[in-house]
Amino acid sequence: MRRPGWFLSAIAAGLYIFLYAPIVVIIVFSFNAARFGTVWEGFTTKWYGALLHDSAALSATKNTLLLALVSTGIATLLGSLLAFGLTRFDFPGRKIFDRVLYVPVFVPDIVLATSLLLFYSLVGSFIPALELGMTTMILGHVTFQISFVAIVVRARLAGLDPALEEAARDLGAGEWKTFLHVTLPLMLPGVLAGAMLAFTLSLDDFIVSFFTSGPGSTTLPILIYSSVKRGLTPDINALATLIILISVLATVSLTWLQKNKQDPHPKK
Amino acid sequence: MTPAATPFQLPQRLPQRHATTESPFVRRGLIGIALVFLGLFLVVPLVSVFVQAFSKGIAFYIHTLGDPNAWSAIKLTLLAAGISVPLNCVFGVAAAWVIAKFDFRGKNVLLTLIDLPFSVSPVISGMIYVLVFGAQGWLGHYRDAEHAWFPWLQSWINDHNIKIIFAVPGIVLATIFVTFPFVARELIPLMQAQGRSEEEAARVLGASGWQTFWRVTVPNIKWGLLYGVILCNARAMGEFGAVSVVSGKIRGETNTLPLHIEALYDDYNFAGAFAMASLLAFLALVTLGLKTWVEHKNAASNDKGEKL
Repeated sequence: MRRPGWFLSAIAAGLYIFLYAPIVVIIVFSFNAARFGTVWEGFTTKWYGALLHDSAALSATKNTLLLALVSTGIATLLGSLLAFGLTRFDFPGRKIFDRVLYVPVFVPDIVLATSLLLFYSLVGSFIPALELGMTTMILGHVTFQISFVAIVVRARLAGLDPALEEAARDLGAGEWKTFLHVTLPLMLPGVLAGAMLAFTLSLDDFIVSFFTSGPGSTTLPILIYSSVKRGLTPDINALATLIILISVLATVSLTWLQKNKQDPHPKK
Repeated sequence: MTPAATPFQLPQRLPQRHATTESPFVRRGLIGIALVFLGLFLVVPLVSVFVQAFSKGIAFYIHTLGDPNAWSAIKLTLLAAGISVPLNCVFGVAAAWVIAKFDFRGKNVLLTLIDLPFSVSPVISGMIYVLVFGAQGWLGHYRDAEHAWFPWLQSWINDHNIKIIFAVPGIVLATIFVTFPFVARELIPLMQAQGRSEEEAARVLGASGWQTFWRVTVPNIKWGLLYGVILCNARAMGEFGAVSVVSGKIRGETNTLPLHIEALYDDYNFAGAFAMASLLAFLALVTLGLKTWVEHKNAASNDKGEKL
């Protein structure tokens, strides 16, 4: 139609600078040679090198990735099946489960975190596997990830043409064959987008990890949280810069996947 | 939580279709595992929060909620939400309006920027403000004037004795940043799907920009907007990570409701912590009810549109 006027553009630019400039500041200062304070003393990449020898940062990175990968795997499988079940079948209580699905979206993280902690402490005395640590963190992450995966996958399934599956069945394909060769390829972009979203959520999560982690299962957000309390250092800036970079890449690819899934019948 | 990919009101299909139904065994197996998991790790813990909240009796529950520190936490949470939600409502409508109705260079960059607070970890969102406004920070309170980057801004902050980090402005700022994308994310797909033809028709018929906006655009997006506001508000009241980094956790002064829950928990006052948590959980359930109502209304108004 038209291009926005200069006045509105200026206000918008000012607003974005106000909100986003701090991110640029953190990236710039991760290359600052000064050990303390925010005085610029020259360009260096030594803080990134120092991270490679920082055992706390390395083990936190390992934990974060392990947690994100395992929980995303479980949540994607369960969430996709749930979405499939909820769109395709009718069963008593379907409406209620539909509401339950949205509970983790609306319940504040702190409530989810404290309730999980309470649950683990109640059950932990009977089931030793549920002692606080990596297992409880993975289960906690899966709990909120399932909802997001299921919501994304269901959006994809709702847009599919049922005639395609009916045609496959009509032409003699069995249940599994129809699912594997027709339904699954069609819902796959949704599943991938859901998995990417779940992965980002797990990577960024602080509060659920914070409450359900045990000794030795510190993740990157927890590490940064405790470092900020002790005062900011350039290596933490470097670490934060790396995390921001990874998260942005994941989000951009998520947007890309979702853009592709808008059209369920791509033209050849 | 970030419902980044929750599109507004999807067309629902009737669930039962006879041509392609699987055997009951497969059917139950598929959904069963996920439902058992959600029941065990979501419903049971949430119910036990309410049980624990009342474990010391109703008098203790009322006592916990009536505590001055609890009151101050509730008021601060309402204040932060009360400032950030209307602001983000305006930002969100403006951002969605620009993206859906105008063509300009750098549109994809703007889209990425809008999504950025979703993708950045809340702890880092808080940390960036500590780095800029903190005591040792870039525009910090006690920064050495010799190395000032923006001397006028720094002396203005010092002269007026404005505290940002470990004070209310920092909490509000962090909340605004974290909840920034919610309204825009709901409205962008909606406004893109509606296209520009109605606005263009209004302009051709002689309406001014504001008239077009209030009489054509707003009625079209009102349910989507309300949905975005509900999500934004839920997150604003429940935000923990970013706020905890900038708040300093001074009881009765800079503790929000979620931070107060953690403080009570650290005091081993479990019944108190769960009493406060039950309040937040109750607010979330109200929000969920509102969301259902909005979707219902939206579906109803869509049906009416189709009949006409």
